[in-house]
Amino acid sequence: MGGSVIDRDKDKNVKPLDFRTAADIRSGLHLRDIVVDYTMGGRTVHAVRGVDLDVAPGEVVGLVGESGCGKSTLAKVICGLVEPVAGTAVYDDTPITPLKFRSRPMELRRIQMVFQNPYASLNPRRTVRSQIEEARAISPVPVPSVEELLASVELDASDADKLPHQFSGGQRQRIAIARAMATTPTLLIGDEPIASLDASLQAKTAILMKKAAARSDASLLFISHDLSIVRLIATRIVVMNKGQVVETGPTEEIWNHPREEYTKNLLDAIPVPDGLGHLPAYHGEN
Amino acid sequence: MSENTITATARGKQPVATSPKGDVPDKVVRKMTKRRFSVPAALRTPLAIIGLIVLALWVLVIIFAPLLEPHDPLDQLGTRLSAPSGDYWFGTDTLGRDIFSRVIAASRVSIPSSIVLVIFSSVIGSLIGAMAGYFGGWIDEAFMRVTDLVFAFPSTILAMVISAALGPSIQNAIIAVVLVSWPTYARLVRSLVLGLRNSEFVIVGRLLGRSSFASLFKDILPNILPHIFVLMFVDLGDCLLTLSGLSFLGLGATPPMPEWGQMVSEGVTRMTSWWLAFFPGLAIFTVVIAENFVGDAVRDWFDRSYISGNQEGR
Repeated sequence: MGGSVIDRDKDKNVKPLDFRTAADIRSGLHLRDIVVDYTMGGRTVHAVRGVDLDVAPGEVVGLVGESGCGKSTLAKVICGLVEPVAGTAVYDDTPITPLKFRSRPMELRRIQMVFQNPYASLNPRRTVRSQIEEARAISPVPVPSVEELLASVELDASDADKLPHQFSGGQRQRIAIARAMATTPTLLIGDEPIASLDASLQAKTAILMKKAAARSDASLLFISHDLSIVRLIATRIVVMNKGQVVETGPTEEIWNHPREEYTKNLLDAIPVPDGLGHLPAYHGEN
Repeated sequence: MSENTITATARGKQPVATSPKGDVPDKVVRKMTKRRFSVPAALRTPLAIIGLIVLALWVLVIIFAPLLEPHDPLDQLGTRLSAPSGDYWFGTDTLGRDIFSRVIAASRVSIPSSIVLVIFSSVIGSLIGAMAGYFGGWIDEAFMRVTDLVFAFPSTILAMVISAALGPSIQNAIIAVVLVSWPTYARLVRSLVLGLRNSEFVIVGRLLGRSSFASLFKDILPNILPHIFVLMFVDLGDCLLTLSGLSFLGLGATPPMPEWGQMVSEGVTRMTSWWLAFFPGLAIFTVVIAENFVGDAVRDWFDRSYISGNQEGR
């Protein structure tokens, strides 16, 4: 699976991180020593504790970990929605600045995000067309029409003039992906985009997102707690636990030969369709 | 994906109310949904219909007032305090002016004034509430403390004080009522904005390059406008009452301008001539009760359409 993104590159044997040295004008995403604290009722919660993360142009990275490990916070840092207390975040040589009153700098608008809750990520009072058109308007390069974008996420052209409440959760998530793609992002972030979809749609949506990113040559940072889905699309997997990166490596290596105990537990938590299931607490006893 | 698969997906995930019949094709469901919203059931209750008819009649009266007045409302006809008769349907007042003509003429003052003041107070209150809710911090603190300050006084007394300080006139009475009624809107809008400002679609808007002001006006406010409209409707009757109350106390419309509250106050001193206060009082009563009926119906309609899933995910 992991080979499909590498296929697009001239050198098939090059490791994902080395994309930066490829003949590409973009330098990708670089996070160094990112620390994020939240203060809740006088108590400080360390959400992210010194994370380094690189996403090369065109790379598909899976960021996995259980709930509360800091993956979404990291995504928010990349989008400028959360200001880190320490560390540097740079995208394509532009420092990522936190979003305040002003509008987001042009260069950083190339980073777009698809959110977890498809019921909240579309404006309920505006048609699908107007929402996608608005996204198209910020693209610096020519974009396919709204109808073509909808077709790329397997929706009808006639769906363009409907309101979000006329769609199911899975359809809404695909509209959200189409809207993100309308901006022709160079980095697409999926923040648990499949978590609220039913099992049959999860893999389908994840693959759709990967295809969409690949079509516009964008990098994809796919955040999920579900390693089995991430494995289907990512070339490299980053495992986070308690605000820190515990393991990172090519997908197949993580999947077949995890080094860290935490990663092994995550893999063991994936239910298998034999009806018995695996639970981390019973590792080795099944 | 084939069309059938999409339909099946929609069936599986859509909330019950938006596609109530699981085995009905998507297009039919959509048609049914449209039809339901074009004739809202909440507006088909007897009280709502009565309210709408009464309000419609008053609107006609306002439009055609000059044609409906049998006499000039300011004309002193000579027959003072004559009881209702064939010549003077609602009788005449202490100066011999036709009360029927004055009640009709006053509809052009009282009803538009209450609409104007509701619009002003909703705009001012909504802007203040929206800024407080969206920006938070010291802006929120400052605006909300001013709101608390206004809430700390009984609204009628405060309106009287402001009106008395500004001097009696209908414009000043409107200003006074606006100054005491905006905090309700500010509180409502602030809470709604607080609930929406971290919504994912608002964040998406920011990621697409909206400034925070643009996000507030383009993404958040359009989504809370229906709530504001409902409150405006329910508030109309109250505002008319407060405005009439100020005129009753001599702080609103000044003679000889016909205004219902002021006409009632003229009649209070002469209880034997009951028609002096009765007919303008009846006019206030019909408008306020009709506005309340319609306001309740609009609120019910709104609640139902929200509960039924038209706005889920907010």
